[in-house]
Amino acid sequence: MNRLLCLVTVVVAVASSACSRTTITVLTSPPPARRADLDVERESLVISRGVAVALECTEYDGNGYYGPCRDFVANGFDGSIVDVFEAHLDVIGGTNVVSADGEEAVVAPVRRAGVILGATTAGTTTVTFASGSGTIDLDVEVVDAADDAAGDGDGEPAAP
Amino acid sequence: MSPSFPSSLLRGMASAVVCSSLGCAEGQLGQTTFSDPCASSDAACSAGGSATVDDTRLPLAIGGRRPLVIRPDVLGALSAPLQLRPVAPDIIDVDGDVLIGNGEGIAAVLVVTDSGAVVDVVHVAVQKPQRMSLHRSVDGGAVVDERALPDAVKLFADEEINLRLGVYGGAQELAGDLGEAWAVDNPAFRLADQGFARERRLRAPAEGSGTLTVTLPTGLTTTIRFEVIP
Repeated sequence: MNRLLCLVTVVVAVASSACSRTTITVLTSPPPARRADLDVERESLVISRGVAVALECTEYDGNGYYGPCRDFVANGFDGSIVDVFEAHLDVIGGTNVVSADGEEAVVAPVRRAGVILGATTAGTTTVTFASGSGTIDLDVEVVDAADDAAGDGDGEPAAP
Repeated sequence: MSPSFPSSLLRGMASAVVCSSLGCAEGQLGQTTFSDPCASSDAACSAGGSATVDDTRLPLAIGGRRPLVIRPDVLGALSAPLQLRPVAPDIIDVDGDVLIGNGEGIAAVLVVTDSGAVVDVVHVAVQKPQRMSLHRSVDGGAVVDERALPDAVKLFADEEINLRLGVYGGAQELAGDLGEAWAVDNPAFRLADQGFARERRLRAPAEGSGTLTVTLPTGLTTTIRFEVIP
């Protein structure tokens, strides 16, 4: 019985993750010798102090909508470590939406959903991105440039 | 469909091509361009281009103040109310349209609308001034001779020259008004401050010699000796 329950649980989890998905991507590059490394799998961002990156949110709601995150908010972060601002990104002119039974439709222009994340002080915090299809808790580590000259992500000074 | 490649970034690439020919710089979202203010004698700049001597891409000197001309390139609006906002004010701060270099490093400056939405991002480096040199300039500073003047220069009687101070960190010139002090040890040499940072106009006397010294608030100095050919 326990084995059966476990199997059902796994199937539900897979189906659930297949039905809706919220994704964060980086739109801009850091300057030379600075970092803005987003690891989507680990839901983490290592960023050099002083750097700002544009992050875009997209969602698939499991009912055919795939596009900019709807009802998008970013909150829960420590404002002394990072600043998060609404980004004015372009409007997508006519978005294709695929319905659950495979039919395509074009909906009216929609605004891209994104933020600018600025790294103000070294430290760690978590930014929660929420859309209509779920949330992502992005662990953010702000490193001082001098403290991670190796750029190897360990936040330690480069070896001599 | 998957979300398309942002057209703002495509526009950014286009503006990068335009900027590379005109001498301006573009934000990372491609929705604004930045340039230095035009000199009054720089006709091409005043006609809608960018300053012939464009310091936009130079690192900013610690203690330096650099004004920027910001032009939005936003879909759906010919103009937009924009402000600058610093991400790390201990590295770069902002006073209206002026960037202020406060500490060594690289930091972002955000271009925000009156509602607080970020339209664009630029990263600017700040470096410590390490050496200085003096250069001839013409057309009210619109054109600067990149060759540094030597330690000693001969002038004709009553000759006037325009001088521009170059400040360097590493291999690059650094931008910014540094509030430097100019002084000549012979008062017969007339030195005019005509209101522009890092520039002076010098008039030689009928005869004599003198040493011009330029000093930054940090104490860094450069000197040049002038001798008049009677």
